[in-house]
Amino acid sequence: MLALTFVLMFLLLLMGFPMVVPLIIGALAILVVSFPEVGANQLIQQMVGGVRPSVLVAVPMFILAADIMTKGHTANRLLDLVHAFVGHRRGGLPITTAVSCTLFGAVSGSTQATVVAIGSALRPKMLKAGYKDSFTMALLVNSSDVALLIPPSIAAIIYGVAANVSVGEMFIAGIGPGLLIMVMFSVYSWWISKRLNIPLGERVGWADRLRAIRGAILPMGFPVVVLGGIYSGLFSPTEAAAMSVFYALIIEMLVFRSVKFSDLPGIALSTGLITAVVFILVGAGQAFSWVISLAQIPTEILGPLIDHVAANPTHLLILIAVSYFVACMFVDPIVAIFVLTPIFIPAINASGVDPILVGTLVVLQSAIGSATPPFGYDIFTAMAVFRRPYMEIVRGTPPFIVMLLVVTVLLIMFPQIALFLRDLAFR
Amino acid sequence: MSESQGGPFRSPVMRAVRGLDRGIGWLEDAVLIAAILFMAGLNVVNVLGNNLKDWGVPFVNGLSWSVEINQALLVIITFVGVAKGARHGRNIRMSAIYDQLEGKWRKGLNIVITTGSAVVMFYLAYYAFLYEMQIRSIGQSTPSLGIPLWILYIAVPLGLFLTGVQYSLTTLRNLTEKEVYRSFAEREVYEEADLAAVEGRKLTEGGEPGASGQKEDRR
Repeated sequence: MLALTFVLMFLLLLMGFPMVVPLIIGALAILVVSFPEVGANQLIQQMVGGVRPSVLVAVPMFILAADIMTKGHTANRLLDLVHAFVGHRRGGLPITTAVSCTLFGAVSGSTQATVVAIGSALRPKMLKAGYKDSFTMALLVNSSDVALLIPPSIAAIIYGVAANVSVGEMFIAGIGPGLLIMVMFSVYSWWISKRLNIPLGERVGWADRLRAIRGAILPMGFPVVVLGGIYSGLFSPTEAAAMSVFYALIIEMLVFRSVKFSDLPGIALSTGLITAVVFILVGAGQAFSWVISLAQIPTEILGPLIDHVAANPTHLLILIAVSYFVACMFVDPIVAIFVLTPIFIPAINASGVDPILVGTLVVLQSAIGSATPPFGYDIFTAMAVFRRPYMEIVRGTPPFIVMLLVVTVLLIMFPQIALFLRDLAFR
Repeated sequence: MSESQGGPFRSPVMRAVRGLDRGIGWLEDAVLIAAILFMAGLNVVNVLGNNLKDWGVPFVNGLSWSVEINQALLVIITFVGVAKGARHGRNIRMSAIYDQLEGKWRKGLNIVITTGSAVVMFYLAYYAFLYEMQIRSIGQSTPSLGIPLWILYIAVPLGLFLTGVQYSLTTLRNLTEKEVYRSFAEREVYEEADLAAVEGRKLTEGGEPGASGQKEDRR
């Protein structure tokens, strides 16, 4: 019965139904068969309850801040700053791409905003310099995925809600792996540039560098507000999100004057729509995860393994990594998080593994799965943004996926990559 | 967001439906804009108030009722927004296989998807209505402001119902016209520039960098 439900859900998913439909049908099927006495209005109650946690306010607020900044000039200013310092070095342009994506991820938390903002500015330059388009696009897509790890991260907020762990700790724990990925991508870019023998760019003079620093100093205040605020305990993640909206409004409207008052309704509408299409999955995901917990499916699936993983936490981490990676190749990370997390929670609790480490691993797998063929959604984002065929975008991705998997292995072997900063801030 | 319109409606019934649909669309937009801006204002004032108070500034305070209003706004944004998502064909889905199809296969699958989604949404709307009746009969209200919950949560059955209506209208439009529509008012667009050139119309797909892939953009 259970297998049949999952097959049905998968089928509806592949057919292209909005993802909320398979989740609801799956939940209903289990409910009707196992608990005919429970009414479907309980599902509605769970859906409403799923989108109500106060910490979720951080999601629309960070999206709003990102939308304001995407409308303004923040991305270009960050990019100019990085380019002024590394543009003339070996691999300068792709390294600028990797670092700028990480920085913009730190101010916006949105993969797609990052692909659009950085990609449209840097891709033409990289092509002109002689880099292959497949490498360029794969670099952009994968670097933008680092935005999932670098706080503010929407995936981290959602995992925090689904697994009931601290979002602030999730944020801080994402920094280490995010920076590690940025460094690996930079080294790979350097090697590609050397192999292709790309001519070095011109060195930027100190006068221009100072100008770039001056231009970027206000946008660089975002990570300070968000991370500094959370790290110091001054702000909760929700408060940090509200402050980032406030900060974005002040710098884009009052200082740079790149966003007008009349732009605000349009920006708010876009934020509302993006929030809703994500949150309806959060609601449906919550309903689904409530039903499978009610039916004790997690114990049914993982029950025999619990004793084993309690003795071998590493095996559990590997199992978690593989499950989320595969799931995110097919569905949105939010769906994967809500379907899989309740299944693993009993095992995680029994094993004594740090739940924040698990969360960071899950967010990392979401990032990798999202860029992995056949169905990783970031590939489709790139198709839409760059207007290139599927195969051309996919061709450059394998080296990046390998690097990201290496980071996964490193994270499992050395949890301190994620937990060091967290322990420093919260313990 | 502007719409990439299909051809004009010939039947007066369809024209009336479109008029009504536009009115509802306008209302959805107004609710979403107001909810997001209100949420932003509320939380900015609240965080500034809380921190200024902590720093000893007199007569300033956070808003104790912000939590319950935030929760209500989250519910309203979600359920009104999902209807708008359906209106623009933006609800998140995995369209890799769908995108490979052409002609009548694509249209057929589209009709299956929108019909099935409409059924699920109407079903949910019905149970949301029962849920609404339930909280109304219990008389639940928000803790600080005492606003009856059922008033705030009207968005739940209403939003789900309107989503069902959107999917039904999409089915209707796909059944009655030759082209494939991703929603009632918006036709699927492959190569925006080519189509625009062929039809001599202006590009109207507001702000979206490329509409060639139908994979819904997100976040």
